[in-house]
Amino acid sequence: MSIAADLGESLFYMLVFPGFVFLFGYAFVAEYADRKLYARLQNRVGPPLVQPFADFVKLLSKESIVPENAEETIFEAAPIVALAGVLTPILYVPVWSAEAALAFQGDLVVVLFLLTIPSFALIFGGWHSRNAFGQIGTVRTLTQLFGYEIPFFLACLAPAVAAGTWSISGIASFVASSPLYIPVFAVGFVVALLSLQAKLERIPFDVPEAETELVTGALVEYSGRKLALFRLTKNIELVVGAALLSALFLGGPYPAGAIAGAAGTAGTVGIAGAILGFAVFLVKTLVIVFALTILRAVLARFRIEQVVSVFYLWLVPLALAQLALVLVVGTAEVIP
Amino acid sequence: MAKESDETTIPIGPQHPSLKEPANFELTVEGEEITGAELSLSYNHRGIEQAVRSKTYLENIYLLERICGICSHSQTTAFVQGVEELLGLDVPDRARYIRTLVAELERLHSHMLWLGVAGHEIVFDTLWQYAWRDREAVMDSLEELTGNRVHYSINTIGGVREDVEDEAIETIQDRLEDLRDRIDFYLDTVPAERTVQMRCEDVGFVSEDLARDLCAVGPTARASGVPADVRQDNPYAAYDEGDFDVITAEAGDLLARLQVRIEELAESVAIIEQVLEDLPEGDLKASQKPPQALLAGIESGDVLSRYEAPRGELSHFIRSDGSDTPERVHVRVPTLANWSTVVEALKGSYIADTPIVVAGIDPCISCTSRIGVAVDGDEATLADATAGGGVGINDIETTSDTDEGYTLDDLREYGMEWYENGGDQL
Amino acid sequence: MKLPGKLIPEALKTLGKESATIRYPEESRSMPDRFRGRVAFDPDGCTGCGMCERHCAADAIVVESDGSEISWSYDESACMFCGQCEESCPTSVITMSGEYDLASSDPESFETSHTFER
Repeated sequence: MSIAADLGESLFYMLVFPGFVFLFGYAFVAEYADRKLYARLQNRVGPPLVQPFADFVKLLSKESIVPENAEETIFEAAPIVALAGVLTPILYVPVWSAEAALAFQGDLVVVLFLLTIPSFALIFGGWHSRNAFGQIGTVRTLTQLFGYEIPFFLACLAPAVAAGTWSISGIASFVASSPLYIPVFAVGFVVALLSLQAKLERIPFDVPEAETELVTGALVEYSGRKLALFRLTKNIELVVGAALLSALFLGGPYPAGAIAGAAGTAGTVGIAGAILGFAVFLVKTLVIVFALTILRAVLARFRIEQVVSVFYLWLVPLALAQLALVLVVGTAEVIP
Repeated sequence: MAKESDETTIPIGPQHPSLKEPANFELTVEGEEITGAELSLSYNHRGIEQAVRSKTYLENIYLLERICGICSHSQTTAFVQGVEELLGLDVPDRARYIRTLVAELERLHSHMLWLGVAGHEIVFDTLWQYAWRDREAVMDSLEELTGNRVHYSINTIGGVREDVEDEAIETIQDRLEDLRDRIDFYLDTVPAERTVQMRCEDVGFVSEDLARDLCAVGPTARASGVPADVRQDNPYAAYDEGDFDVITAEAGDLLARLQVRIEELAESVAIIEQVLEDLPEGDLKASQKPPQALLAGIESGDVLSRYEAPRGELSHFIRSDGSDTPERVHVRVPTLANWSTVVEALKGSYIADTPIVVAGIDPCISCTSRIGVAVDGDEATLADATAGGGVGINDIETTSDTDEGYTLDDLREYGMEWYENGGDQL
Repeated sequence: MKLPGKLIPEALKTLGKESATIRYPEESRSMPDRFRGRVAFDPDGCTGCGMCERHCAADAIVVESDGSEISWSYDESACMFCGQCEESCPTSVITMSGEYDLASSDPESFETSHTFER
């Protein structure tokens, strides 16, 4: 294709689908689904569909204050960096077919790295707001990061080892063609779910944000537009994380590929296949969001040292066990 | 990025999401560990003990009721019992039983409210919503019985104002059956839930000796093994005719307090069932005379009235000078006795434990903010009151120039002077 | 080793239940008979004795009488709905109604007064 058409296609991917516009809308739908299920689990009514968007608009209309003692540049740049860091990975995660928009070999590593950027932006923004609550929250975010990143990486490594490729699209195609691997990945899926919950700083791992102690931790001095962007970042991170997990552990658009008769071959999926694949994507990501919501509803919050010990004493060994299992299954060639 | 071992001071309050009422905790922390705590509790001071002196005993029932929304029946009953003693009135049996019924319903609603708040402090919001949903059965019963969900105003001098009909008894008994199932559910799941245990076990530990030393009261003391319960030690209303246990626990930590309060829920249900079964016939009031006629015969004297509020021992000291307005009413609330245990328990704990340790004593800060006026006694300045001991409570203990104590205008002047001299900067 | 999540069965069961809250103000509850709402006053029968004013802890009721005319006024915003006025009234012209929807942005609307012949 010509450079102009290439550029146009890439811009479409980045800005409209599956990039900014799609994520913007889907993030609010995911937040609605999360809050509604959470409320129903507690026997309450829950918010209407438009509530997350209304909250966003309300925050945009509020004054965005920069505290006197804060480092202004870093304080103001943090939300934008966070949002950028979380909007980019969707380009490498398969959405409507087993092939992502801009897939390439090694994009798994890039995506995992990009997904750490929101946490670091939070850390920098929180530290440089020069507020006691913010700084303790920042230290906790950092400590928690040391806790969950390693199990998360290890768990995401397992499908990569099984598929023998560093590309998420490659992994999705591999699992789509040997779907019996999905139950093999179950342990890693659980580890990755819990690590995602910790990355998103949701209950039971929301100690950095501890509302009842630290008044929102690192975000305490943020208001108005910047806070709106941070919250949007968190919602998009939920969606992108769910998409990543669904691609790695649940086989991506499987079984849409099999049904449409074009099992994940690069690029040549018909419109019907794409729509079916997208529907499967929505279902799988919503299931992951619901699992995270149920987790949020039935557990109390851990203290920071309990978070770290849970991750290192339980989840790292489980992730390593998952890796071992994948290696055993691979060499034994049990699965065709 | 972690700080070296220099200490930071974290202010919790007076505005803070974990506090339902304004109070200030200045925590000195090293990293995540608390090395010291100072409390400032007078943000909710409303001058009630001064206002009480200019209203008749009858009006004071309603004023004192509004010291606290959760233990409002405790305040009125304690007060009214004291007044009845000064008047030498004999409260009829039916009235005493109805007072006990409302008292135990209040204990139910208070402990369930606490269960929700404790759940919220460890961010177990689902427990919070369930506990408060199930509490509605109690609130509905109270509303149908007394006319209001919060300030029941069922007491009057000499008895109670509303009767309990047979249909009401049946409705309450039905509701209690459902409630008993829910209480069993909470007893089974909540202390056994792993995340609750991780947050509450060995947190906020208060030993039995410390609890006795610091004169802790109520479920806080009982969870450390101190079997203090005014309903047993100094029975009032209909408790001397009831058969119930004093619930204690040995562990002295937050999990024990959780356990004690949930078991007290079950015990309260049992007491209410006894009361409803044995409810005697009779009058609702000791005397048919209107209140102003009753009060005309009041004699001067002092009386101390004790009551087991949901939070612990509540005492009202009433001094009468023979007129229909009291000369002095001093309210010693249970939360005041328990604050020292919080300070001691916080030292060595983590910041993350602060909300749940504070919530563990079931604090009612509105209740606590009283003023102590010594009519003739020690002279103590504000500095003396805050220095020494583990607690820096801003109770202003001072004397006046005359034996009459301060008038409202004197107090106003004193307050303005204090702020001008930077008293709040101490 | 104990796993967390004891509340999961209960939480999933709750999904099937109806919501515990009602959509107010479209739906609202009916108050029990004894509910103490706004004070209702019937001038027919009032003798101007002033017991309601004397016993009102919140000073919400003011009764003035001179010879033949009585004026009874009530400030809803000061009232604490304790019901003592209803109890003290010797001729039972004061009752606690079931009105609880009393919010208003007009301070004048909280005060009602009646002036009538004895």
